[in-house]
Amino acid sequence: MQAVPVPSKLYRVYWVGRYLERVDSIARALLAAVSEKKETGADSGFEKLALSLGIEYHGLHSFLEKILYDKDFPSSILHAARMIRMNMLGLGIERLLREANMLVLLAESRIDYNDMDALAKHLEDILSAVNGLGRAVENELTVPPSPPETVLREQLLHQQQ
Amino acid sequence: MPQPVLEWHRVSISWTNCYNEVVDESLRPRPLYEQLFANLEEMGAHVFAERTMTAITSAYLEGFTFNIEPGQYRLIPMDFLPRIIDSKTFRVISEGLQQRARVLNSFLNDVYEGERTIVPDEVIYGSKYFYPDLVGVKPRNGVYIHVYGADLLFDGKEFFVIEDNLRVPSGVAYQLKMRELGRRFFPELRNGYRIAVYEPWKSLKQAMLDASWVRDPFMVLLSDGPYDSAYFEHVFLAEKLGIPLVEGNDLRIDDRGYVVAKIPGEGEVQVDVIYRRVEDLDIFVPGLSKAYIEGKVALVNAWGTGVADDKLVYHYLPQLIREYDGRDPILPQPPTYSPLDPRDLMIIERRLPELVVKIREGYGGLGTVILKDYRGNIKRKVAEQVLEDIRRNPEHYVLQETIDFSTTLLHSDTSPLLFRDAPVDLRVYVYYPANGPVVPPGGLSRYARYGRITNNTSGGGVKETWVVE
Repeated sequence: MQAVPVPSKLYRVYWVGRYLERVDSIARALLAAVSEKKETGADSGFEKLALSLGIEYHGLHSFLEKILYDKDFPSSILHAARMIRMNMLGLGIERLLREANMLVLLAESRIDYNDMDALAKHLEDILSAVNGLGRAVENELTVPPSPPETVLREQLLHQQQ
Repeated sequence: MPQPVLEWHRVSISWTNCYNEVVDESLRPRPLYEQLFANLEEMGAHVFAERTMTAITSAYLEGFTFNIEPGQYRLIPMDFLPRIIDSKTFRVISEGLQQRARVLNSFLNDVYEGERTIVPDEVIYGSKYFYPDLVGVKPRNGVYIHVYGADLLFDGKEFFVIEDNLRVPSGVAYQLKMRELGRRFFPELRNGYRIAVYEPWKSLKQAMLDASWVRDPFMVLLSDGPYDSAYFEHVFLAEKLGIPLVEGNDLRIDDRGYVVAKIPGEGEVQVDVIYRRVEDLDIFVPGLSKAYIEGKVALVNAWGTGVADDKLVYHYLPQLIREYDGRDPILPQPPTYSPLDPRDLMIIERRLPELVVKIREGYGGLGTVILKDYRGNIKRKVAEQVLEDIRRNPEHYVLQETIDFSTTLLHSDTSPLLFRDAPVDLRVYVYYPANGPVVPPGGLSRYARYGRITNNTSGGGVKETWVVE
């Protein structure tokens, strides 16, 4: 009976999906900016990303602080990770909660903003955690596949008898 | 099995006036704990320390956390040396709490049948948890308190009941989680012990089934959602009970006045029993109180139990027990004083620094002041402030004699190889199916990390409790 999909649970699944997408897209956009910075030394990738998110750009460090760790900023990775965790808690599935907590732990870990390699690795780790969580969601929440056609036909015959 | 005296450098005792349940004055393990220390010795202190860290990490990842505010949570402090109680002692606790449960339930029956009781009317009608609409409304079998959590203290000789929690007592899942973690990470510690099986959800489920007005009821656990400080427990218990965990928005009252749960794609299902973990019914499900009054849904606990939860009613409980049960209380309770009573007020004014101050409708240890634990000028200033508040709002306070209650041993926060003492209490859960109250053998042991307030809300930690043969 616990598996009864009451609306509040479905609502949480919806928000887990939205926040997962948010972490994924921010991390990928940051990775592209890191790559540009490594190639050209310019901050323009970060500046464009800041502009698109409505953040005033006052330098790389303050931007990274906001986009990675500002717990009250809805587009930050930490905020989104914590919201995933909170919604996951409501689903009551231990494996998913464990994966969500791993993502939060990663999102909370600090890095040196001057080290672009460390930043790239941090973002790749976050993407990997997002993928892991996505796979776990798929395994735990997917409806079991329908029985094969032959089984269904036999069942139908059985019912007709 | 004689055990060596624990070395002084591994144990720090600061509550020297209190009875330590684990070791005696010469740091020799008490009989119940001898086998535990032998097991610990065999396991090795370093292994115990490493497993503690693994267990804590696992608990965190599995969501064993306490919500402080939206988006903010902390790990529930925990200690993996169990608290051990022998079954003979627990039998007395069990009988004493069954007696209290029956009496409190009879009292509620009288209150809502409009009968006079020995508790003054102004205490009953002045309680914010007394609902006049419920007079004449009886839950099935006359059972109001399907779940009851009693807080007990041990003074080295006997257990005292210091509070009766009858609204939405929480914490049972913490004991269950600690048991699960203990089994997973420290199985060796259990060697040589026969630990009583603790499955309180079975009694809870029976109490819920018996509360129902219909056969084969559809039952749910109503939570106020992930922001509730005890949300971990709501999820955990719904899973154990095998019932859906719902929030207010999942339920509504249909045209006939019945409570229904919305199941997307399936339509609506009538809900017969709600294990409610919320106090304000209509805020979460508008119209729920009316459905309850009309007998269209059963609530666990029944609505209105808060009257008996009032700390001023607790003051009268020994008299109520003699009145309803015809016997003396099996479990003692510390004398309690009400500032509303002129004779009590004189005692309060004379002996305030020796008493514990409690807010009448407080919970979670918030507002509790143990004046005995303050020193010097601070003690004087706090006592003056408290007395001023008591004189201004006497109806908001009750005062209790201070019990120098027992301590336990914890592994130290700074090094798991060291032990230190800490005050400990015990919350025992009582369930009330149709055939009378039952007390599953076990409970939640909570230790204080700062001072003597053990409640989780006030930063206390938890230990597994073993009731052993």
